[in-house]
Amino acid sequence: MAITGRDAFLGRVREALRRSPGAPPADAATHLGLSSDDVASAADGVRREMAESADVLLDAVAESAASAGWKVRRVGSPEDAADVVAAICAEGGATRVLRSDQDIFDAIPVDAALEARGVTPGIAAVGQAGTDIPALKQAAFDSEVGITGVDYAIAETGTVVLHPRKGLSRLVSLAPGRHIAILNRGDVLPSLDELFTLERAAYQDGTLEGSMNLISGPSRTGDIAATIVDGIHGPFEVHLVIVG
Amino acid sequence: MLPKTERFKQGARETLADPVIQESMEAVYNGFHTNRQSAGQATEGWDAQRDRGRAIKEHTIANLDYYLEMLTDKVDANGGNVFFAEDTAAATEYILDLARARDVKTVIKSKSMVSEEMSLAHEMEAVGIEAVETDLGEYIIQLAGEAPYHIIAPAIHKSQDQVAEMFAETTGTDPGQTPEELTTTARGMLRETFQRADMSVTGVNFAVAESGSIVLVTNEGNGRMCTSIPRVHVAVMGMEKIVPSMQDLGMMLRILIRSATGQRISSYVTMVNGPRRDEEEDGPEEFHLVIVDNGRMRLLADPNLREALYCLRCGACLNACPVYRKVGGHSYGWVYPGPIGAVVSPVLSGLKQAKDLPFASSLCGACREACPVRIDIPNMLLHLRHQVVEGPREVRSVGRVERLVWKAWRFGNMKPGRFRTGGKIANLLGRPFARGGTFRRVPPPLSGWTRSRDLPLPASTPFRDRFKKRRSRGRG
Amino acid sequence: MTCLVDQFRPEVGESVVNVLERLGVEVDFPEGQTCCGQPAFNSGFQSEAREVARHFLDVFDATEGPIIVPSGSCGAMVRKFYSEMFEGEAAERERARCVGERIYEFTEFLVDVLGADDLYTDLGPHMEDTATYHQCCHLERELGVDHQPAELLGRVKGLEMLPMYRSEVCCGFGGTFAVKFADVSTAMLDEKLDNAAATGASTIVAGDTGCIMHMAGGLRRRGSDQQVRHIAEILDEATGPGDQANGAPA
Repeated sequence: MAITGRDAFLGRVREALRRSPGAPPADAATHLGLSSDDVASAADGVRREMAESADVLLDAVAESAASAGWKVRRVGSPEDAADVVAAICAEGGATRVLRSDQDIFDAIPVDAALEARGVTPGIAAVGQAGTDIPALKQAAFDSEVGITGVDYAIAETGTVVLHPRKGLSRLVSLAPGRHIAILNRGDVLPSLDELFTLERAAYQDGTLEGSMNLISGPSRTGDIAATIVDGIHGPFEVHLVIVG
Repeated sequence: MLPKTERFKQGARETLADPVIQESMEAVYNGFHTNRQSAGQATEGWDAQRDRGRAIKEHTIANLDYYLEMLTDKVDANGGNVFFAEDTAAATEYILDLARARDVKTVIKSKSMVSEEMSLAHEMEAVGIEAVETDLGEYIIQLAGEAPYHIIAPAIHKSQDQVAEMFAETTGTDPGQTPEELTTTARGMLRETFQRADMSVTGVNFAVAESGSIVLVTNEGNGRMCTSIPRVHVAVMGMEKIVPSMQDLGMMLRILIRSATGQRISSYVTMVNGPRRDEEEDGPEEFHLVIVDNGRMRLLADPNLREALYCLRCGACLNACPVYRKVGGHSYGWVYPGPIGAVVSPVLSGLKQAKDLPFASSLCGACREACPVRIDIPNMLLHLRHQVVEGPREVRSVGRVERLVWKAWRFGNMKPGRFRTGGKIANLLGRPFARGGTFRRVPPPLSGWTRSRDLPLPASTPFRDRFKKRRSRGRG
Repeated sequence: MTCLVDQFRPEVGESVVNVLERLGVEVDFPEGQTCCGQPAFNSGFQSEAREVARHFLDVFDATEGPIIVPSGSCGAMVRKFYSEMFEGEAAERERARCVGERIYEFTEFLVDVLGADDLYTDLGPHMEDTATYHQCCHLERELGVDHQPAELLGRVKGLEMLPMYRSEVCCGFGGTFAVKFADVSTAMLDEKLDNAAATGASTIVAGDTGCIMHMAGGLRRRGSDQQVRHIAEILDEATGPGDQANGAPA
């Protein structure tokens, strides 16, 4: 789009640093020195580790997510996962449930499980049943529960990573009072560092979504008398359903 | 924000006399400070990561023009707009013009220290645009019409009762509400605002040069609301907030968050890569990045002060600082309180007016120890003190009496005979006024000492004489 | 020897000499010495500080062997800040570096250079008292002398060391800070003395005379029975002849 006021500004920076225009850094103290092959092979290494250590990582994230404030349930099958999701909605007495339009719901029959309990979930996707962006926003704020898949989870921090995109609204994991995230075996990363290795490789390959969200527990504040309270703007309760 | 840095001593006195604030300051040490210590101990390779974090900041700042150029090229390529602002007036004007051009009625703000430098919410209200702070702490101090008290906990000085009373006045709720009830009240009020906001203004925790991304860290989720709902998203950053690569973010987030609250990670970390893509379900149509200088160039140009630009704004130095915990945030008189504020505020807002700030430290070094990137704050305070005494005419501001005192001190210390005689004279002159070897009261300039402490009379036989006696005894 | 010890606490100096001599160290006190320059340096008066520092270098450059100073503050001044002050004066900087390399804080010298084992075995430190240790800021954080004092005190038989809450927090001295910002300094001192009193120890031990004068002045104003002593005084008493007469192993 547009860049305004850059030349004069950078001129003053160079003057302060006594650097000449366009000069690359003298030292290679950063990761920018890596070649594109290095980046790609580092990402391959991460994916291998995710597959090879899938069980260990799944155990680790179950523990770290719980300590970050997720309510964690582990299930063995897609059907059990769907039942647990429906049960969580029912426990909270929720009738207004919204889910993303991700492939995971083809494999995990959440809609059927909810309908068996008399709840028809909304689908947060523009174009679905005439939904536009304002209607989607309204639906997200009106819903009691939002259900999504998980792009990655991070064992180090108990984090769920979501890349909002077609089918995955930014708000479905944010505006409803409860968020349920469904995690598959094999999608767990050891630490934040591996996440950014993959992000970097994806960016190199031309993929950069509008945003990425790392979610590690409920929405929290400590701003009144240093008392920690859950549920200030986003969900006050977050559930992680682990399949596998 | 207009600096009131000259009021430091007065502010400190008022704060010391305020039992509510003194009580709330305990939480800063018992909560943040001790949590940070445990988090560091629990993190593998903690010190090595801090060293790496420092090295990355050092490298980035030393090549800042290069990375600013890369960053802004990438923001542009991602479909965003960039505005470089020399000062807060230019930044404010750009944002206000944009708001008018897009017919914006309501702006939601996520916590941003740079926007505090600009008094942005205030400026917007002045031209009839509703501007609402959405971080709960910022929201509280906006209601109170105050400046932030702490970098990451802006309303740390307010008691539960004070907040409850404020909410009661604004919304008619029960003034006896608990923090849980107050949070629910705020949730209701702010959700309504989120839904109708047309524009958001957020800060930036990190900007990634290689991809043109910005990263926001929050626990409340207001950063996510601000980057999900309004049509227009404006991110405001100080020019120093860059890391070169996405790969640097893992370590940087780790040292920032663990130093700030002691959490392993905050509830939300959001990376924004420009406006929403066409096929995405929601998100802003426009993204603007405003990069602000506002005096930072002076920090950059001075090798003694440059490392102030490594600051991640985690607040760890405030929590560690025994002076901050006594005098509180407002005494520092501008946007940035505590040890880092005592360096940054004088340089950004004027050293002459803020001349007390660099001196208001016992130089105990707790700030440097707590800093995730080991910024040598005491050393920078010494540098600023030197500026106040011997710097250029426009910043120099020391009284004649103090200059004389140090001249006399120098004279007395240049010859051991003078030094010894000086002690003797002080002993002889002081003896009639001392009780049991100490003074309860002395005249200025030392009167401050005896307000709360006895001052010992210099020894009648100093060590040098005793040593001599020892030796002559030994040999005799 | 530091100027504060010389003028206000000469007994600390005597204790330093006593302990060192008991360990077989030959001690000299170059009479030309005055102050290291820190008070002026910390107040921004670098020109004045530089001249006094030059005098310090003149005096000590003419000597040989380790320079032992019973203070973290003065040690840090010479070891760390002299080189900054003489930036742009290559020759003076070099002199500062040489002298700086010979500077040891008292407990650092005992533990790291002498190896305190001799002190423990040959002198059999012993005294009956309860004490708590205040971690002086410059000793801890400028010089990195963070374990030596505790190690030494821990080996004194009969000396019960009681932990102090927030023992690492500054007492509020800070040189001219205590005078210029007397209110703030006093509030910090009050917190320190409250924490020290809560230990129930009869003695506060510290390693820097500035902090000691500060805490002692506050205790006296409070009318407290607690006393503040330099670690050299404790080690002197614990290894002294009076103690040996009580039958402690020599």
